[in-house]
Amino acid sequence: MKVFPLFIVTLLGASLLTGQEVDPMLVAVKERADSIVSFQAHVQMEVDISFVNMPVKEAEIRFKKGSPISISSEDFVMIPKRGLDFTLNELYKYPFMTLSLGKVQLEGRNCHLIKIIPTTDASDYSIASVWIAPETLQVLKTQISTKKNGVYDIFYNYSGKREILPSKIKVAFEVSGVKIPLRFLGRDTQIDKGKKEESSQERGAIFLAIMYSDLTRL
Amino acid sequence: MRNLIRTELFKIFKQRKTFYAIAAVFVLEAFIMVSAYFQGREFLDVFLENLRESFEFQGNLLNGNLIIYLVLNSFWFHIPLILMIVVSGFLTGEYKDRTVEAVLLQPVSKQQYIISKYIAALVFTAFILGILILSTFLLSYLFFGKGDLVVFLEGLSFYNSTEAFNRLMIAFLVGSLTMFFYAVVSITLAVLFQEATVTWIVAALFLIGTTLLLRLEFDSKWVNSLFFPKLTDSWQYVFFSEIPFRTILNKSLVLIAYTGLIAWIGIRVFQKRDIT
Repeated sequence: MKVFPLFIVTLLGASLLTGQEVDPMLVAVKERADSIVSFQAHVQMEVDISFVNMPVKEAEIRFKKGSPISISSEDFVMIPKRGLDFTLNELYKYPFMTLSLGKVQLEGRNCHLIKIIPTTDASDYSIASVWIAPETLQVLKTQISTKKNGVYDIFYNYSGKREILPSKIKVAFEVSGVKIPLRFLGRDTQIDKGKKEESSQERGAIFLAIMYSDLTRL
Repeated sequence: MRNLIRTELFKIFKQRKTFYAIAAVFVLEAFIMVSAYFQGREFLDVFLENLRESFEFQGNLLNGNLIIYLVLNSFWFHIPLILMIVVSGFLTGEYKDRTVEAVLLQPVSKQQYIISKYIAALVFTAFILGILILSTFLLSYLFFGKGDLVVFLEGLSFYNSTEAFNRLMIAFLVGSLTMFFYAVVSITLAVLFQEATVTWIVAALFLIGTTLLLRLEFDSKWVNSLFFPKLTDSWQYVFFSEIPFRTILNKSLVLIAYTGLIAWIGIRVFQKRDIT
């Protein structure tokens, strides 16, 4: 008979979990983002990875609600796998639950920290944290732990307090050193195995400066 | 002297081996392009595999600039080998046919004759390099188009198409000095050994030795900046993110001095040796 109350508590807990509502602040942020119907933007990309030397690249991006962002450039560009999802739609793609961690400080600013936990294996990330400025409902930072590509820290800057879309983004990620086919080695290329092992995994970043045009809202 | 040089050039461009050299350059280019066409993408995938975990790539890196860079890499061994074999034949062939004696029976000094050989060798080298550079740029852009160049030197460096073109042109020009050096060495070796097969073998050994010595790192800064094998890679410095122009200039000047010294040795030996 002692098992019965435990069973009731477990059942109640499970029903509470499955029935947990999405944090209202995240809902508000999503509603603001959903008001964006389409936009075009010119993006400047600057790569900061110790073993990559790349000039600042430029690209045009197009967004239309319901479709993935499209990017075009005349040059060769490296597009981060996370960070260009300005409306955070990728995080809401699969069923999820949220966990509010309440007020926190982010670089001296008061924020609301919310964890997003997917409730299906189909999702490509295991957990995401979102830092939201409560007074402006702007997302200041997201941290996405992906299942395959490590952890992405994405920092957002806005040109004004009312802006929904960021004007500057920094995407920080983990990156491994490059593999060099031996036949491509130049005469001056030195292979330092010890050094290579030490730096096999490092943090890199890409900085995006975005100039919007043709922004359409509901 | 001018007539002598003109005669030497006339002889060179009447010889079948001259056209073999041109054909060899085209075969080399074709080989690099065909390999790049079939294996280039796979090669770049391996190269960029780890970056692909964090990035998606847009744009084509398997383009004309990469092909030109791969052709440029034949400056390490293939082009010098072709040049040394063909250029040394300009003199060894004359020893073999005994036309050296016939020429020197004319009112021509030994010094003028051998200097004209060196100058003709340099002109021929410039001609082959001209064909190589022109055809490489034309064919590469024609078949593979333009685009960013990626090279691995102190990390991965990307250059946009215009900058890639400029750097490749400078690299070809700087690398040409190394080719002139090898051409002069091969004439000097021909003076020293006279017999064609022996000269070819020694020339090939010289080239192999130079490329092996280039890989050795010496503690002494002077050895690294004055030892001739260390001077043959200046063109590669053009692909550092910040081009070290002073280093390239210093290395090039020392290599020119070596080229002059080796030619001088060849001229002296030729002058002192009896032609029999």
